[in-house]
Amino acid sequence: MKPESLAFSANASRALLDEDLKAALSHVKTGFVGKRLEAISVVPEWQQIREEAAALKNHVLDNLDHYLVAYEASVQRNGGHVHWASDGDELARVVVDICTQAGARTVAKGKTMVGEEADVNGALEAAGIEPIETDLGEYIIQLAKEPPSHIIAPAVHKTKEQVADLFHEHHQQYGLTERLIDRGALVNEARTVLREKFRVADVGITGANFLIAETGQHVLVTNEGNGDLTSNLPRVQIVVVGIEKVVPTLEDASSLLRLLARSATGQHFSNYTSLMSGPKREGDLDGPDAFHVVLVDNKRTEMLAGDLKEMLRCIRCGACMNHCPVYGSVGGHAYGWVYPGPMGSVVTPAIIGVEKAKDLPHACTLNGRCAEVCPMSIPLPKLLRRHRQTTFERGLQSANARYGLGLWAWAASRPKLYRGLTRMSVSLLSRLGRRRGHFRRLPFAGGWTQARDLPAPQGGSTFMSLYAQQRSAEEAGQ
Amino acid sequence: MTSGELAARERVLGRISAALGRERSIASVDQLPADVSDRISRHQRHTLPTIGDDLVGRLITQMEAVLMSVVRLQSRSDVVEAVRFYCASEGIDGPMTVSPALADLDWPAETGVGAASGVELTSVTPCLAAVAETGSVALASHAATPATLNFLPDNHIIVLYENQVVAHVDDALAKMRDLDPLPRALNFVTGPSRTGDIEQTIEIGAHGPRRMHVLLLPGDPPV
Repeated sequence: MKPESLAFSANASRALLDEDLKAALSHVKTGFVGKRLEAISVVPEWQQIREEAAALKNHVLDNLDHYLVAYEASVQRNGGHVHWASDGDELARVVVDICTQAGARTVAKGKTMVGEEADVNGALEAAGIEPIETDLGEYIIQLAKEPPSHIIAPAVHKTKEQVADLFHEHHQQYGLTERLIDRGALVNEARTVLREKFRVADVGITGANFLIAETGQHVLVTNEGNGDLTSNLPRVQIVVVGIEKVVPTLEDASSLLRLLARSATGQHFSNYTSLMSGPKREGDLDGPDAFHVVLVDNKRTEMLAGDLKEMLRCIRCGACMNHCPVYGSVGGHAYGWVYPGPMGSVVTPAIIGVEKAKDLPHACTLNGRCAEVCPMSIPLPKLLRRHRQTTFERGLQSANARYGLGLWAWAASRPKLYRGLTRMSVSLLSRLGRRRGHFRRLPFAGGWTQARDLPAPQGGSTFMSLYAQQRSAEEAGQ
Repeated sequence: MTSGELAARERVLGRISAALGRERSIASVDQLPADVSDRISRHQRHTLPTIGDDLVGRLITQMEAVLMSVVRLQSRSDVVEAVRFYCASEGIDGPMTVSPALADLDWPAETGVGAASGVELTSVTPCLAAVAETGSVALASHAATPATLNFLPDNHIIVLYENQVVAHVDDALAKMRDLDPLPRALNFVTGPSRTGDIEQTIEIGAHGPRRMHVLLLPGDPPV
């Protein structure tokens, strides 16, 4: 999709006024956050598993080329084909080529975030091939012609009434004319429509959660089973996956799986966790005739070379966005591209360029909850600060921010002046606000007082003046 | 690979080795450094969650927590009757297909044997293992155990033997590793298909089975 991350501020302001969105996002807090905590509370080994996983991924990243070459050889041993794509355009081209050669008219798609990076659906449509998303959330947003707003719950921003409207509009062509509103009935309706799509699809495209160098298998995790239907029914199977997803052995994948489901949805294991490789074996009664994997770089090697390397440990669980107060307020679409929330604010500028996403690293309060819950211990706030530094160095911030910061830096590097100024303004504000105890409006602080009152300083003292008082009291006491 | 893709392979591998400060990357798997091939062949396990000694008890608890039902049977000859009883008590009345691996049982005449065709309401399959850690069944695809039976029917009934119950996911993976050839698919299934995609509220039966029922038999599966 075309990045719209530059419009973050405007998008976020609009999102904050959207009552439907607010209602939809409230489910994230009650659903994901509580369930995750419950799920990890019964695994006392959690910290240990987490530390080992980070070490494992660091080891893989330091040997990334070796493990990829080993994985490639294992896939070929199983009768599969391995393709490489250095960017999104190459990925889209490889996928379209495979589909065209297979004479495909319809493609069933499991959820793939790498596919979203490259707008594989757009490329397929341009080639006259119909892509059908089969993950319920992805299907909903495909009907709505919207990008995902969450990496594991793409339609988290939709209320059931909005889903009911979409289904009512798009399913009449299949003779389903009643506008159903009950969640179970909506799920059932989508199941009926998508069954038929699975039946006619010539190619199935999915992403992958992990690649196993040892066996050449990829691991695919879903709760709906759509990934498995996509992988088992069509005659050609394509897996598109980022190069950072490779691990050495089955045991390594197992360890990361322990972290993934609990961090993502608070399940101990996702409903469907499948390991697959290659086309149907001799004598098999089902499965695809041809099996392809496309290994995608798309700026991951730049991250590997630079100071965002730690981001490549990410297993795309979504815990960081579930716990992010900014994401929880503005939702995923405000971020303007494929990946929202804290991980998105690191990954998006790295992939599409910091100049096209300069506001994202600033859409963060640095409260640190994302790093705290990240199963791969990725220091997200630190990586966001790196991007902030880059935007500053390249002069990408707004003039107001630059001059404001410049003015502040000038004053702050002159301690006597700075203390004098703060003392003056604190005592002024304290006297002005004595009667009410707070301010409803203040010049130059409209951004603050528009939504909340500013408490008036009490007693007119600053931290430094209190500190000086206490020290002299202590010295007098000795 | 086309020549363009070969170039893409060179480019990606070249970028990785440059990022890692190596002069060049290896061209093929024969040049794998010894420490990397050792790491791959060592199969070393990471820290595993403790799950206690009562594997079967834990398995049943975990399965029931993810909405799978479990009944114990005395012998393999009870399977057909147990399937009939389950379908009758759940009000399931429609076509059934069983894995070729279970074809030796005395099924009703109209029972299908083979891969799923999409019209059956119920499937009956064996499994490779069941995992006490997670409450999952592990199903390995094979000519005698087609994978579509795990996903297409509304009701999936699994025949499990007590000695197939393993402690951790790693144990089930080790059993798969011993299969030759490696199955095309190994499916860990942990409860009926579900989705939370509408308002984060769990609904059962998104794409796959709506019901999963396990018939637990003593001892080992027949060879």
